[in-house]
Amino acid sequence: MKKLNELSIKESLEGLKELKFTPQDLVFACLDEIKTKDEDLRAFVTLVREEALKSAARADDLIRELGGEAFARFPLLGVPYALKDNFCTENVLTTASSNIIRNFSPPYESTVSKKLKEAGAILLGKTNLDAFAHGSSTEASDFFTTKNPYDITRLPGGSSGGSAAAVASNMCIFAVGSETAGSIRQPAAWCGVVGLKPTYGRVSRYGVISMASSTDSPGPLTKTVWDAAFILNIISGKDEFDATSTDIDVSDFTRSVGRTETKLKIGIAKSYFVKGMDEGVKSKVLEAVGVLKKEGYSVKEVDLLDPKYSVAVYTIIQRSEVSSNLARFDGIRYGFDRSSFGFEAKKRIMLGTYTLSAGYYDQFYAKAQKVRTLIIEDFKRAFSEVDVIVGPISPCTALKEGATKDNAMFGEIQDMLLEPSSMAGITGISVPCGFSNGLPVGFGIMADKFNEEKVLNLAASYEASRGEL
Amino acid sequence: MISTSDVEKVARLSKLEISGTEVKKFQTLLSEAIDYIKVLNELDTTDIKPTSQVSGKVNIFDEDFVRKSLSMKDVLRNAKEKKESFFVTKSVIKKNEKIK
Repeated sequence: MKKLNELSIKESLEGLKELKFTPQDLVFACLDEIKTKDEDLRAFVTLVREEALKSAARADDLIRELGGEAFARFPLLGVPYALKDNFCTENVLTTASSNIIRNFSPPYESTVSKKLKEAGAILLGKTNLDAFAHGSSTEASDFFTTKNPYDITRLPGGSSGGSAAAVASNMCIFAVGSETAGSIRQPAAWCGVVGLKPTYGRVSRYGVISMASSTDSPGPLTKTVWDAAFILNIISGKDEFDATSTDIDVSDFTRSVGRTETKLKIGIAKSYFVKGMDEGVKSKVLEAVGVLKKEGYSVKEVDLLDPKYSVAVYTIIQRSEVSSNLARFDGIRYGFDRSSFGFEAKKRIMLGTYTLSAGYYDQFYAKAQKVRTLIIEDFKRAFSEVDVIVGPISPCTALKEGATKDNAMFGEIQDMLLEPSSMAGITGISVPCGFSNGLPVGFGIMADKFNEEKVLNLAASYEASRGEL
Repeated sequence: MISTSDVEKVARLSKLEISGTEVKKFQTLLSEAIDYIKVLNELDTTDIKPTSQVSGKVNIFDEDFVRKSLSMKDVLRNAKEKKESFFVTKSVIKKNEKIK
């Protein structure tokens, strides 16, 4: 039998509804696991133990008082979760894992965490990231590096590495992260959990410490596809505080899980099987495609632009937006002065300032914006032929600690298979598809903007056919 | 290779102080990145319109109404230095300086 902290959201809610255990039991189980494991894994920057226990007691009262009705009003009542530390949480330290705001206590709550709180979810703590989400490993955190639960000499990926490690090691029931280009899906793949990057604009960015404002997308990291769909129900939707958030119909995403009457047309991205890719990763991903073929899905190859162009576009656009977003950190209204920026942040600000500066703007920034249009058109063409595109998430499995050192383009190369979809603002997911040399491999599924249903539908169908790993 | 004076200029524009050894390091790292991004020149972008955002939205207007905002105390509480209802900053003009 599973320990309580090992449960999925769905299993937790079933147990809570049937009074098999209480919210306190769940919270204690997670806190115990954190106590046992986090000294080694270091997924959390801040824990809010007392607050979590208080919230659990309140949830327990509500369940006793209202019975099943409590869950109609608070769909996540009593479910403990971990939140990436770049989401502002009122009166709870929010550092972005950076020295410059290591003492920042936000006076307001991000929309995502507010929605989760209102749904009854219980915050356990804030998780580690590459400082300001600048990286794909958590090695660029100004505080410490999070370890991969499958092998603590290896990295969890990033930037939402703390969130991914917390879910993979069952220190929480689910977690929330944010993705600018790969920061949810890549750590999900390296840690063997489900990571959903929603369409840009599906989930409000309000209260998320900005990285690249034109691609930042908050999303869930979970143990199952159904769980990811359930969290998306709660966190998505129009927000008056984020003008790019959208009012496009937010259906019940869990309905797309397990519905198989129509079989989606699958495209496989040939150009994503890049040179130098791990053979183990490649064979696991192709095995996943094989599972879908066996289930009767039609699969055809699609031509997409070489991802190397997206790496360049992303590098320019992200650095440019970073240099502008980080200009606000002046040490006057909050945080410390600019000498507290870590090396990676400095590097990104410098490159962004360079690509935006007079004389180089047209050569770099304007050129990148035009190629971004080509990437969008490229996906449009592909999605006129197929419903979803599948491929690998990362060219390799979790790398050893130290892998990022003095590697100017580490994150970019690491996330090259995710940058095209991020630049186009479309949606994608990583679903675990097995192991290579004992390390998890992620299977990627992408669909056009606001087609999360398709991504979730195929991911769930694959998850069911794949069986236990 | 970008020049060390370019690196220093960019640092000044970014309001970042970097040391002498850092200048060399940034010079190498920035040059590597710039060499990489030149790959875009392989693509023809004549007549292609630039994309600055992907939300597809243009000019979103909000109803103009008064809503509760943060208290002054909350807004000021993270400031390094404050006085009454103000953030204290370094002076940007000298005392008795004539504004031209």
